[in-house]
Amino acid sequence: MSDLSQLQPGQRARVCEVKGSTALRRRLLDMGLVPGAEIEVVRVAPLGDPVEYMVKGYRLSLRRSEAAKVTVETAPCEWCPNREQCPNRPAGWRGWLARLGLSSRSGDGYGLGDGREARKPEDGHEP
Amino acid sequence: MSPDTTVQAPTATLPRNGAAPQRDQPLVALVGNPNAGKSTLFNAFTGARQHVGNWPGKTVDVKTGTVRWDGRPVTLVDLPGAYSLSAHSLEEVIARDFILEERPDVAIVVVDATNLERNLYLVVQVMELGVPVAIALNMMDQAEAEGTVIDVARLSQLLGVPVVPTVGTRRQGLADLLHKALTEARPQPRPVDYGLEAERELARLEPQVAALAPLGSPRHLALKLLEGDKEAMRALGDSSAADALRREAAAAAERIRSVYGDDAVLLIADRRYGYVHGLAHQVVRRSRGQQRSLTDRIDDVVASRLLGLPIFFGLMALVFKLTADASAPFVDWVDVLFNDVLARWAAAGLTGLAAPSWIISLAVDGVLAGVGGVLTFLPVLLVLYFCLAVLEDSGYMARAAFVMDRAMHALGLHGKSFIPLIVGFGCNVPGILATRTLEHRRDRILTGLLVPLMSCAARLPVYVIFAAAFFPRHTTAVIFSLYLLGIALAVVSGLVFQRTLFAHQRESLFVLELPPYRLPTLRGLLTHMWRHSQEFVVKAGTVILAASIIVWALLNLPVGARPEESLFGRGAGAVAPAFEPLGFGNWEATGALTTGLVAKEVVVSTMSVIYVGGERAGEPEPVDIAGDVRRVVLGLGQATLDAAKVVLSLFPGVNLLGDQPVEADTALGQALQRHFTPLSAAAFLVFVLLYAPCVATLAALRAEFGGRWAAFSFFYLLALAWLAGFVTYQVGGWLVGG
Repeated sequence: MSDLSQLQPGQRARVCEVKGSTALRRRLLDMGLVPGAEIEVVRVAPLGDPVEYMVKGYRLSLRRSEAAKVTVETAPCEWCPNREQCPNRPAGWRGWLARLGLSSRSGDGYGLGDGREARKPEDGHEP
Repeated sequence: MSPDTTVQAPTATLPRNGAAPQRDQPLVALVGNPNAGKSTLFNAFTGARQHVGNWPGKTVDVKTGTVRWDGRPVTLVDLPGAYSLSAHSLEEVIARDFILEERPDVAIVVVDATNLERNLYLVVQVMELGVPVAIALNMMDQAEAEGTVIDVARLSQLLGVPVVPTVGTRRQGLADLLHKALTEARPQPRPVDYGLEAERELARLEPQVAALAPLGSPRHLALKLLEGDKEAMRALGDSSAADALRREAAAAAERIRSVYGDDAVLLIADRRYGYVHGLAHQVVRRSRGQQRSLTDRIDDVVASRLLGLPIFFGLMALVFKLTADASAPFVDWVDVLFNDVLARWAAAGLTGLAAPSWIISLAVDGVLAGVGGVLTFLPVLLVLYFCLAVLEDSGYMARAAFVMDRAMHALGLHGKSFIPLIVGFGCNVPGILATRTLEHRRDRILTGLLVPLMSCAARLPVYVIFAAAFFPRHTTAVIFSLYLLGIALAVVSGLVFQRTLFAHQRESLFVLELPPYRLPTLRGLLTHMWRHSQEFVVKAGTVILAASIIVWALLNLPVGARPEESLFGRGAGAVAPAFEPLGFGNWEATGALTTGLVAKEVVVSTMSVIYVGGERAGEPEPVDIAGDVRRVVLGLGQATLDAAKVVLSLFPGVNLLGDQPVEADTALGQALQRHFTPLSAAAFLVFVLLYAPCVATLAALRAEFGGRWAAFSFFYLLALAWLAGFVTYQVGGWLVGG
C-alpha cells in the first residue's frame, strides 16, 4: 500500500482511503477519488509538482501534498512498468492471455471502466 | 435569541440586480460542471438579451437572460459552474441556494458527454434538491469523435428525467432541450439508494425535516444533516424540535460511522459515484478503446519537462507583443480623435454658442480628455481579452497553471495566479478582475495585492522620458531594471503577506481539472472579449472620468490663478516637503504624481503642461468638418492596416514594419534636466513604479475585495514607494558622491 504521490507516470492504482482536511477530502471525493476508483498517473509538471492523473475518464491535477492524502492499492501486473523483472508474473497460457489484456476469468477482479477486465494480483504483489 | 425565531434561510441573499425573475415568466436555471459548455449554451439561447449581475458584495458572475419559447419569454439564469453541491466553494453555494430559494420551474444540467460519470455526480445532487431536472447532453460532437455512443433514451428512462443531446457550439438541440425541459421535467428527488443503514436513518430523519419546513427537499437536507453540514444544521432554526433533530442527526451519523468504519460524507459520495458508475456502464458504449488522444499528444509537448516552461513564456511574450503592437495604431487613432478632432469641434461649437471659457475648458480638458483617456484603453483590452479568450477556451490555461504552480506556490500563490500577474503588466485593472478565476478568496486577495507591483503600460511613458533625458546611453537597461524591481518586490511582498496577513488562513487547494483541448469558436471568443472589455469601460471608465473632472476642477480653481496657486498646486506644494529626502521635494513633481493617481501616464502630460507650458489656443481654428471626418475615417483605415501588418509580422521571416524610432519629447526632457538630477530622477522613477494604484485600480480592488483591502494596498504601496525612493536617493547619493 502506498500513497498516490509515490506513484510514477504510467502506473495505475485503485483508491483505498482519502484522508486530509475536510475541505480537501470533500473536494477529492467530489472529483471522483472515491474508494475503489481507478486512477492512473499521466505526467509530472516540469518543475516536479503538480502531477496529472486520469480518473473517471478525465484529467485531474493535484499537488503532491494533496495526492499524499490518498492511499492507493497499486494495479495488477498487466499495467506495472516492472512486470518484466517481477517474480510474480503469471506463467503459461494464462500469462499469455493476461499480457494481451484479456482475462481467463470473468466476473471477479477489477473492472477498468472501459470494458476490459483485469486479473487480480497475486497476494503480496508489489510492483 | 427567542425560542420562536422563524427558520432562517440557508445562506446569503441572492442577486437582486434589477433582473430579478418575474414569475409570470417561466424560470429556468442552468447548472453544470465548469468546462461543460454551459455558458456557450446560455449565450446561444439568449444572444444579446442577457444581463450580468453580481452577488451583492461578492464577485461571482450570475448571468440572466431571456429566451423565447412557444411565443413566450422565458427567464434563463446561468449559475456558476460547480462540480458538486457540497457547498464548499462560493460557486457551489450560489448554485445550490439559487435553486433552493428561487425554485426555478426547471433546472437544466449541462452535462459533458465525454465525461459522463463526473457530470452525472452533479446531476443526482441537483435532482435531490427536489426541483424538476432536464439534462443537456452537451458536446455530443466531441463524444462522437472519440467513438463514444450514448444510449440517450436509456439514460432518460433510468433517471426519469428528459435527456436531450446538444452541441452548444453548433447550436444544435437547443429548441428540443428547452421544450422538453419546460414540458416533460418532473421532480425526482430519490435517484440514489444510499444503502440499508443510511436509508433507514434517512427515513427517520426526512419526516422530521419536512415538519420543520425549511427550504429544499427533505431528502437533500437530511443527507446534509447526516454529513454534519453546519449550514444545514443552522437552517433548521432554533426551535426545540430543531435541536432534537440536530441531536438525532448526530446520533444517526455516529451509527453509520460505526457500521461503515467511515463517516457519512464518504459513504454518500461513494454511493453516488457507485450509482453513476453503474448508470454510465449501462448507457455508454465505446467503439474504440482508450488510445492516446489528441489532447494527450499535445500535452506531451506543451506540458513536457523540457518544453513546458519555454512554451509558456513564449506564449506569454506573444500575447504581450500582440497586445501592445496590434493595438498601438488604434490607440493613436483614438487619441487623435478625442484630443484633436473632437476637442477642436467642441471648442469651436461651444465658442459659437458663446459659452464661457471655463465650460470650454471643462468640456475639452476635463470631459473629453477623461473619456478619451478611458477609450484609449479599449483597443488594448480588446486585443488582450481576445488573446486570453483563445488561451482559455482552447484549454491551454489549465496547462499553464499546471506548469507554473510550483513556482507560484513557493510564493504562497496558486498556479492560476499567473494570469492576473501577467495581465497586470498590460494594465492593473484587468489584472485585478482576472483574480476571479481563482477559487479561494485568500488566493484572490493575495494575488490582487501583488498585481499593482507589475509595472503597467501606463507607467512606461514616464520611464521613457526620464530614462532618455537622464540615462541616454542606458535607457533599455534602466527600464528593464525597473520592471525587475517591481517583480522582485512582488516576490518579497508575497512572502511577507503570506506569513503575516494570511498566516492564520488555511492554504487553499490546487485540485485542477485539465479539460480536453478544444477549438474555440469565433463567436465564443468575441463574446468573451466584448463582455470583459465592456466591464472595464463601464467600471473603470466612470471612475477615471470622475477623477479627471475633479483634477480639472482643482487645477482651475480659483479661477484665473496660475497653476502653482490653484487648489491643486497649493495642495501639492503642501505635500512636497515630504519628498525632500527623495530628491524631488517640489510642487511640480508632487503635483504630477498626484495627477498620476488618475492614470499613471498622466504624469507625463502634467509635467509637460507644468514645465513646458500648456498651449492654449486663444482663438479656436476654423473647423473643417468634412476634412476632419475624412481624416478620422482614413485614420481608422490606416490604423487597421497597421495593426494587420503587426499581426503578420509576428510570423517569423515576415517583417512589414519599418524601423520605428522612439520619439522622445526633447522639450520636456530638457526642462526636466533643469529640475532633476540623475539621482533624483532615479528615485522618482522608483517612486512612480511602486506608488499607489491609480484610481481605476483602487476601484477594482474595492469592488473585488472591499474598501479595507483597497486602502491597505494604497498605503502599503505608498509607504513602499517612499521607502524605496528614499533608499535610492540616499544610498545612491552616498555611493556616487561620497
